[in-house]
Amino acid sequence: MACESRSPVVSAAHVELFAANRVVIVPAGIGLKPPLRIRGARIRAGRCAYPLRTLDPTGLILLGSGGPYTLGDLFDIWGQPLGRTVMAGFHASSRGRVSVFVDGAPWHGDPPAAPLAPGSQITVEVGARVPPHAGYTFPSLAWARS
Amino acid sequence: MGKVVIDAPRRAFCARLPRRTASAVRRRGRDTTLIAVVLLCLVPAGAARGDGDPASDVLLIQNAFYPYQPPPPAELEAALNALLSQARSAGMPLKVAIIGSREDLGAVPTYFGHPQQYAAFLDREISYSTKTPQPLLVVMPAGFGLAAAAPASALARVSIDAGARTSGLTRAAILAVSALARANGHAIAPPQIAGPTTTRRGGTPSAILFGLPVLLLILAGIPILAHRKRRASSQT
Repeated sequence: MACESRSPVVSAAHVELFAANRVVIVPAGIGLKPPLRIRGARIRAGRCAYPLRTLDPTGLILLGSGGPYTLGDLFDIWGQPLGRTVMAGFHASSRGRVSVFVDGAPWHGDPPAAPLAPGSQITVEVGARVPPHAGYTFPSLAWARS
Repeated sequence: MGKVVIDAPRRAFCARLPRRTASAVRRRGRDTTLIAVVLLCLVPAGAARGDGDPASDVLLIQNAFYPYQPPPPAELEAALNALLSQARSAGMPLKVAIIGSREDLGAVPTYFGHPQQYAAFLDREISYSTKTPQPLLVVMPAGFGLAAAAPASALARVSIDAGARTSGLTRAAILAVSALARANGHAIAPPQIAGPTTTRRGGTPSAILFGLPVLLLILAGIPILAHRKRRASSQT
């Protein structure tokens, strides 16, 4: 995947991260290269954008054309590790592991292979279990295209 | 449940916090610099079921959450932000969530239309602890919701122009923040903001929106009236 100056947003997914019973904020600016144009908590634009990006710190992942994309693609662009025992620097206990839920249902494959499909709600947990949300009401993407 | 902020500028450090901080704090004991950074990254909050609403994330790093679509006029957003900074400086660290539609609520859309219930829910997510709840104002087309800010009677004279959508909600938020400040004994003047016809990014002012059709009707009516007058004069 490349950082392109013209990379239209076509859909979105939502990702929630939990570690040790805490919410891990997915930051704004994943998949964007500076200089960034920022208004409040939202990024309006960057020099270039990857097909997966975040414009605000809410876990809303904007997807470009192409794909299919995976959770591993997102973490690769973010520059954070994701595996069976680690998630963004948070390590599972000796007997624990990273759990992934897709639309509320457990994902039994490798965490990085979980599909980041349009409209999906992904929950990634390490440590204490938090009941995952099964869905997400997505905003119109017009704000992300402006 | 707390929140770990892995924000863009400091995400590389914060991402390593769970491994580094526990051992480093134990090892260094009084390393105030490290502790300060830890406090910056670990933002406690607490709802039983996570973080599905966007406002709970945004309000950890901003004083106000604004609707996604349509966005408020930039000048109104700037005015509210300035007012909230002023209130914070005066000792009233208020947060504001403006919710324009179900889409602004993410995983908890059922709160739309129930500002007070959402205020209670959101406050649990963003409060530092149950002992020090975060003063919060929620603004929805259906009304206001308050948590740890002031009695609801403080907003009795503030109305919401829900027809003006995000602009109306943001204006109402500005007036409500001023009213809450007054109720808490802080004299904060509401900022001077442009009239309600102000729009952004090519939006059409309401004067044009409603005036233009009327003008067209009048212009279209002149020939008809003239024709009728001609007919009337020819018949007489």
